[in-house]
Amino acid sequence: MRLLRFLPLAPAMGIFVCLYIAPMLLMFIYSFWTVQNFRMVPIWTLDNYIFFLTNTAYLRVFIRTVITAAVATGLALLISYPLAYYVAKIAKRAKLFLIFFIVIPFWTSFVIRAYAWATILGARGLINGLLISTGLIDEPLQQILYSPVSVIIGLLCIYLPFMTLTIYASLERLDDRLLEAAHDLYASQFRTFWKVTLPLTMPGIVAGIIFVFIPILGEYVVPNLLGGVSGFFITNIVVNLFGQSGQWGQGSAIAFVMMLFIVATLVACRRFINYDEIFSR
Amino acid sequence: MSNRRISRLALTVLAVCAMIFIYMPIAMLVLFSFNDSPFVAFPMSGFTTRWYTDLFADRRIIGSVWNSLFVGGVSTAIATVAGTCAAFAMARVSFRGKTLVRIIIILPLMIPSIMLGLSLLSVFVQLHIHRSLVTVILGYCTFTTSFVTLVVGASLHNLDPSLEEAARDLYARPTGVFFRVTLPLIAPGVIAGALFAFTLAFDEYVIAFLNSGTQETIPLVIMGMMKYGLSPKINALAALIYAASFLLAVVASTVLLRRGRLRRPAPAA
Repeated sequence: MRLLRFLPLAPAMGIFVCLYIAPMLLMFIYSFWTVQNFRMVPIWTLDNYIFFLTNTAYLRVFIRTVITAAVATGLALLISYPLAYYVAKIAKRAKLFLIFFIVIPFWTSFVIRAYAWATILGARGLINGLLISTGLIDEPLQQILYSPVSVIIGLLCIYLPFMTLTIYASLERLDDRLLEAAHDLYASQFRTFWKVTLPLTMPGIVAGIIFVFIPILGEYVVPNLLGGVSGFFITNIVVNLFGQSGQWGQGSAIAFVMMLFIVATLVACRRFINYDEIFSR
Repeated sequence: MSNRRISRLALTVLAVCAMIFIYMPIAMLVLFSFNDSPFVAFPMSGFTTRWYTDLFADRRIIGSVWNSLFVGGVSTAIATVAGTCAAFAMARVSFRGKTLVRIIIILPLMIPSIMLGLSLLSVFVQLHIHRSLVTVILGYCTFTTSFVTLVVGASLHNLDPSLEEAARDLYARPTGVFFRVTLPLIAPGVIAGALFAFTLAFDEYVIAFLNSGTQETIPLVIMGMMKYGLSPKINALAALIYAASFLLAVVASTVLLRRGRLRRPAPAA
């Protein structure tokens, strides 16, 4: 009878155990196995990890991935904060309307939006078209698309709304009377922002950073579509190792190093926010 | 002009620019879907609806639309049932190790889909399971279930528990309480969660790319076509998907806005 209470959890737990916990364990085991004749054989080794950690080309891509993700996250924060502030504190009648239009992109395809950026940044895209028609340049700039810059633009456009919404939520919870109090005590606008608004919305900022930085680290589609040879991510290498080269052990090892990095980031952010509050509202 | 008004103006300009940035790709897509030229490039030519008629004549694309609807529909159905039940248990039953279970529920949304996809691929290859749309659905069940659990959990949190207590006091059995009181009250949350889970599954690329075998869903077709350059047919398809997503979002937000009626009463001041 007591066990019966857990019955509602059974279907979900069945799904989770069979379809991601067990597979992840298998992949973890693979990261310590050897490949022979394109098959995984249980010869235990640390070579897969050593291979990745001593391969400067792969490490460079890993670092580039982290830097690109960090830059995109930073830009997202710089754009999102004023936007969220405008929606939460300044827009009055347009508020619901604006939130609606910030939420809409969540419902639309990543692949399609990345594709759309290819049409804007391409050799014959909007940017080059405008530059040529205004006479600023004669030949289309080739290097906008398929570069780290186009990857950052694409990522920013897709992940910006995540950041805006978390910051908006924390600004919305901020009591306006605190801002009035600061104003009454002769704090300048800048000082009010720096000493009151910013510290009180810090949980929203950190949550936004988590919701943008971590998914970008695992992003595959955008760097694949917009990155070219100079902009691809570590995930593209992992997929190639699994696909063409059949190096499943090395691919798994890189994936778990990436996972470790993600977990470390989440743990580091624990100092600033309460995860229970975000996820079990 | 006062300081306050200048910063207000600056914020307004920034907000407008940000919205333009978010919506520019969408505008470009729609614009080029009506452009009378086989190249998605400037300068633009005349107006045409040719790409839309071409689209409906393309059997590969139409097939992929059905595949996407099938995959999205089945995984959403599974996720909605499993997720709603799980959310109910998490909200109403207290037990040890709840934090661990909560982490298990949240993880599929934090793990990169590349890892979900590759680890499943490893299992399917190891067990010699033929890859098809069914294996894609299996891959989608995880994160859609997590998503529904979180959304329904939020609605349960907002529900006034005294309504369930009243039903129990009137001798309703536990199943009766759930189906006749709780479920109708959290229905908007369940519907919104299901709609959102569906769009997530409908658009997913990486897991499908790794686990679909030879069958194609819409994102796979779009990526495949892009290898041969940009095509206005993709624009037409994308514009239609956008219109459909937009409608779905409008429906979901109206459903969610109705949710506020039977909230947990605010604590007395």
